[in-house]
Amino acid sequence: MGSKYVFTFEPRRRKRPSSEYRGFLKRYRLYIKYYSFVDKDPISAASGERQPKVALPIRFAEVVLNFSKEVGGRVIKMSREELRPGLSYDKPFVVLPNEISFQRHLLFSLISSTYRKPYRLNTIKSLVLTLNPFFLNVMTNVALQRYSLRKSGDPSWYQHMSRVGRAVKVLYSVE
Amino acid sequence: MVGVLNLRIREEAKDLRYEPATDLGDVVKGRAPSFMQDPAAFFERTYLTEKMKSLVIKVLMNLLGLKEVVVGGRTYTVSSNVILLPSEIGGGKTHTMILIYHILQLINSSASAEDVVSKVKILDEDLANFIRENWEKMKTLSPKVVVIDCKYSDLAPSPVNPIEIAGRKISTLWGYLGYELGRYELVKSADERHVAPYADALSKLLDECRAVIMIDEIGRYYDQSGLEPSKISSFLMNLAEMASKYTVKEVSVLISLPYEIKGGGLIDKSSMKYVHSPELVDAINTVLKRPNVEIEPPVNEETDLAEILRRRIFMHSREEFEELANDFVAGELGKEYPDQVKAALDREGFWEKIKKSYPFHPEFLEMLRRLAYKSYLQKTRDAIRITVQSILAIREGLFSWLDDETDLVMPYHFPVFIDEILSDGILRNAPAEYLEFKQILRSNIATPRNLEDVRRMKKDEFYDKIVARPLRNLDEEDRLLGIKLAVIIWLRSLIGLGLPMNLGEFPTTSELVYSVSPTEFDVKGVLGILRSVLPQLVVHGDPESDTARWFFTRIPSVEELVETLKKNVTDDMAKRRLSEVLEEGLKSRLGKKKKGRHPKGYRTESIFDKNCCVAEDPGKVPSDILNSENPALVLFADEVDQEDLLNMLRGRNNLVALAPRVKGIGGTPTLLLPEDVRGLKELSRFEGKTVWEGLLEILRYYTAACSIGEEKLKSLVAVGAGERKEVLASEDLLNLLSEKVESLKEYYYNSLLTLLGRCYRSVYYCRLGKVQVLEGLVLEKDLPIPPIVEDFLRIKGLIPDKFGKDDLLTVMRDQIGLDPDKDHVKVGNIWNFIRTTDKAEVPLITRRMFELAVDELLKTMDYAVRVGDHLLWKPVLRKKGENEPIAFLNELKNKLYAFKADLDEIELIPWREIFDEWQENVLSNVPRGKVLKVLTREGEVLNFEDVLKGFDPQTRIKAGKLFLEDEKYPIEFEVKLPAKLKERKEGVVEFYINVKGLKGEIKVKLSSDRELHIEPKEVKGALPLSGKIKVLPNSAGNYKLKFDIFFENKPLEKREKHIFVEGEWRKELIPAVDAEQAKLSEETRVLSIRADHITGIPDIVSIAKVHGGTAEIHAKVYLPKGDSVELKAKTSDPQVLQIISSVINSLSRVSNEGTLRIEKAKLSLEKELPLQDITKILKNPDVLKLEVKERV
Repeated sequence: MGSKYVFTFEPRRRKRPSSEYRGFLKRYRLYIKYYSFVDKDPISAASGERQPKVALPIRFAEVVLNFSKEVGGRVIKMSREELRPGLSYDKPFVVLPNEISFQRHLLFSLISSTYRKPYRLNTIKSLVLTLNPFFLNVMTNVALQRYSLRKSGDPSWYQHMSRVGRAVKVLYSVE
Repeated sequence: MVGVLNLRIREEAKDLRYEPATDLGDVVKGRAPSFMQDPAAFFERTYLTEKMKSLVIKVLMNLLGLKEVVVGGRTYTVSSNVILLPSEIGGGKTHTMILIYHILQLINSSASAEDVVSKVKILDEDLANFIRENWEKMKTLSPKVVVIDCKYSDLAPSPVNPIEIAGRKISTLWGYLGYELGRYELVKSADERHVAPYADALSKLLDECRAVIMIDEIGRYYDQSGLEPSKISSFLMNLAEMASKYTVKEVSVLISLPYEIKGGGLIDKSSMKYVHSPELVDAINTVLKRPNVEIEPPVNEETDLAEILRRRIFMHSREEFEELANDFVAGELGKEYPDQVKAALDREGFWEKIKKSYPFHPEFLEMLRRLAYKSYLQKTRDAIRITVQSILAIREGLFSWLDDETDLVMPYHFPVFIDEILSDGILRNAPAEYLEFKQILRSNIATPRNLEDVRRMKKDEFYDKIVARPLRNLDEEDRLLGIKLAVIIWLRSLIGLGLPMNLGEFPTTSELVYSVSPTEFDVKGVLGILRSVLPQLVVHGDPESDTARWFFTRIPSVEELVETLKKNVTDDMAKRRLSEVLEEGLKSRLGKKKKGRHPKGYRTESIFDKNCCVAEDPGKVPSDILNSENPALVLFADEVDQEDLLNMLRGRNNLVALAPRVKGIGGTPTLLLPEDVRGLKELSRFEGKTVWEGLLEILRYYTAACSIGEEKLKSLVAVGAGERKEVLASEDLLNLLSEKVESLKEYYYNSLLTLLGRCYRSVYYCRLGKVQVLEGLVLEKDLPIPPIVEDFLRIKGLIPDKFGKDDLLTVMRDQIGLDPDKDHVKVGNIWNFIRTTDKAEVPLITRRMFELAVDELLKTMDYAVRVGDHLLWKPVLRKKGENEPIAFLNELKNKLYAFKADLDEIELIPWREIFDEWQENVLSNVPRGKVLKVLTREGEVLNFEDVLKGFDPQTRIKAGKLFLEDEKYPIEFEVKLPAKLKERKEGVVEFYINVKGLKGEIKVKLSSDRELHIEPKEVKGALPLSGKIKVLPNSAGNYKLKFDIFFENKPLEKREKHIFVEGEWRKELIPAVDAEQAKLSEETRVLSIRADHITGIPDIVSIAKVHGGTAEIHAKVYLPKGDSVELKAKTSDPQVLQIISSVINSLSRVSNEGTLRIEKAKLSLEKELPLQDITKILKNPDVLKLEVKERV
């Protein structure tokens, strides 16, 4: 049996408040964290103690969450976390059933996080959903490999990783 | 019932030796198969068509010298001894010649008439009778048969291949003819010299020769004889001319022509061009020009086919067949069939036709006829060949996978799946364009295999290896019927070459039903399925109707493919496609991007900037959009519920939405126009439906067209199979189709845009707690969607052209209800209000516009700001010339940055409210060694403290600029002004000046801005300098006393002091009645009003209402029974005063017999007012007194 994946969102406080948003997003940025698990309870697998397989800041969290359903993901828990009175966010736990759906989802998160405008999300959705699995595998492996740069202390790991998303954008001219 | 399997079939057909094209020469030489060599066997296999009968009779008539006879009730006339047999290859002419040969041989060899007649009877009764009647004469004539078959050298000698008979060497046709007729001498010299004989020689040769001369395959003689064509031609010409002369008797010449005759001319068929030389064509043409040549095509194509086939293939007699047919009909009539089948059978008269055509289905014959006579095939010969192959295939059980038992030979029994039969039968000699039909067959119906493979196959293997992929996945029943129908359609398409111009060749729905009937299956249903699975099947007309025509196209129909794929496009897929189209429109203009420049006025930026998105429903809009500070645009790719939309828009005044329709808003949805329905064939069934439904339909088509990739096209044209030539052709086709798909996509896209524009016509937003609609949006193709929406909203006024400080103040004052002079407000609250209120019609503005308006407001210095604990107002500039508002904003920005705060967190405070606090702050923050100066509006530079101590310091400081200057010489400057200075009265001003760090004499020049007499005007002296000056003001008012301090004649400092000069006034109390008459100056001011009687109180009230002031009232009422009421009041509220006044009035009324005494009624005015302002209001001046002040 192959491993399954679970992902969840985690907020991190911005250094400065964003002038673009109000509410939660003004002070916080959401990160998506993917964990792999085999037999464990997925929620405990995605607990804060474990190192995630990959984590990255994302935009358009709702779209990313919705996309998980399209790749066969299942929301197993949705909790409302309060950061301080009057400021809360929805923390989901979503199980992705297999490697391919994980890869599709990761690639979608990567691409969408490189967008400042949500102009092309639906186009990206159908693109990623129909992407050749071999190519998908190559792209996500590159991304994961670049994520590992993080351990070596290279501060530019995120730029390197997100370049995978940018590459897909350029390749399919959906910039 | 006897099925096809049980019918007795002729041996030669079994062995595939049925070949009827055995040559005449073979028969003459006795080398033909026995069934052809033996006259009786031959007659059994021959169906004597009317034409053949007439031909035989005419030959015999010529021989007998008869011009007109009646046989079997029909009159036959003959006009020439020469009969031409035109027919294409396989048309039955050789067969006819053999027939004549056999009849004449029979006549010659038989002793009695009955011998001949009994045999000829097999062939035809009438012909037998004719022979019986003329037996005597025939026997007397003992006719010769001269056969010239140009295929054989011994039957057609030539100089190349001469023959030697009885010591003679014969080397030409005429020599051979002369020899056979026993008159060689007549042509001897011509034969020996290889020249054509003279006509008179031929005439002698033929006259009364008592012979039938049959010339077959003359064309070959031209090519092979070695004689000059002109010689052969002149021989033929002379022969025809002489034989046809009425003087020549007892001879019959029969020449077969490998051409079909129509309208007297030769049809130069391209397929024949290379078989025979053009000289032959000329010669035969010339021969045909002779007026008295008989032309007799031997077979009547239309009607005789069934009979010919029966005779040639089966061993049953006509009567037996009739009996079998009756059995079949009786058996079938008892069965129950679907209505469509019954109707088809009855309409076509099947039950009658089958009796004549049994065991062939009438449509089988029809198909054969079409195949044989309308394509490149040889007529009779190939028709028989194909039929025999079909029957053998049935008998071998090669169709057992298709039918359990075979009662009739059906049209679908052409064994198209056997490679040999296909290429040897149906596609034999097929021109190049027919090759594509092999591809069609392969990709739509069946892959042909060789016979041996097919024989070995089991039933299941048929489906896996032979049946084409599209048909393989159907249900068993549908598949069987589907294959049958597909085969029929394929064969008919082959005839019409799959070209729409040959539409008449293709079967209609009802013909197809008939072709597979009788059957218990739902034929029309299966046709519908076929249409969706077979890529190259096209239906012309309404597929449901009986008259629609079905055919396979050589070029696969992309439209059909789209139509097929469209069935699998769900609404969700269509909406997703819409999302993508709309997303395209967000980024760049809708419509196909043409090369070159964008149109004039093209832009991509808009007020919505990056806050645009496409969503399917309000629940799927990302929070990044919903929580954005700036205006956002949401495009819905689906209909939206009003409530959901309101929930999304409420509290988000910066959000606007576009949707094809909001349920519950806007009444009935827009319907498709008749133009749409007529103009777009895809919408022809959408009359009366909504535009949205029309758009979805077009989207389905567009989605289907977009899903056609290279792979799909390849499978459509079956690239990769077949020969190299076919592969190359299919690659060309692939390119063609790709282009077609592209143009189709473009067509759908353009239709889509038209409907898109009609669907998205309203912009939705929320104000005053409700969803508001702006209608009339036009999504043009020259701009992306966001700028279009922005322009629309600007026209409609939702987005203001400019949002400045005045607009901001309007929001603050009128919508939030703030007092701009007093109330403090946080900028964040104003922004929050604009962004979220449902109480006011706020505009749609960007955060930037708002911030600029705040900046503009701050630049006026009307408001101070508080950031945290810091109060900011007028900045202290580093230089005199610096721009104050910009410096202020920069200071604010730095503060915000330092506090990690944003504009929302600052508090706006009207400047007067914080002036004192501010000036203290400013003064306490002046660094050492610096002096705070004010550059006044008049351009003077003054010491800040001097201004502060002067007149109206707040206004002067607000109007001026503050800046710091280095303090080079700290100056002690003290001035003592007189305690009170009155106009026209002298006062003394004392001053003290000391400059630290300087020694020596200074000079002080004194001056004033108004008429002030100063004495002395200049003071000199050593430091520290102190002195006294006298000042005499001319009138009351504010005076500036300026001190210009010079050191060594250089200006050192300018200081000023403000002096207030009082005027002299006199106060007095005058009765109001006298006030107007009294000669009072214009400067007289009223200070207060007093009343002695109750009647004066209303005047006091009305003055208080107009000018304000504090009223004091003291009244006492003594009531009759010793009661008393005392009323004492002091108020500045006119309304309270009004109430008190009415109370006093009421009391005066109840104190009827008592007394009311006004002890005090005084209104002290807020401001001193000119006398006229008061007197014009008064109504009861008698009881009022005015306290006035007047200049002395």
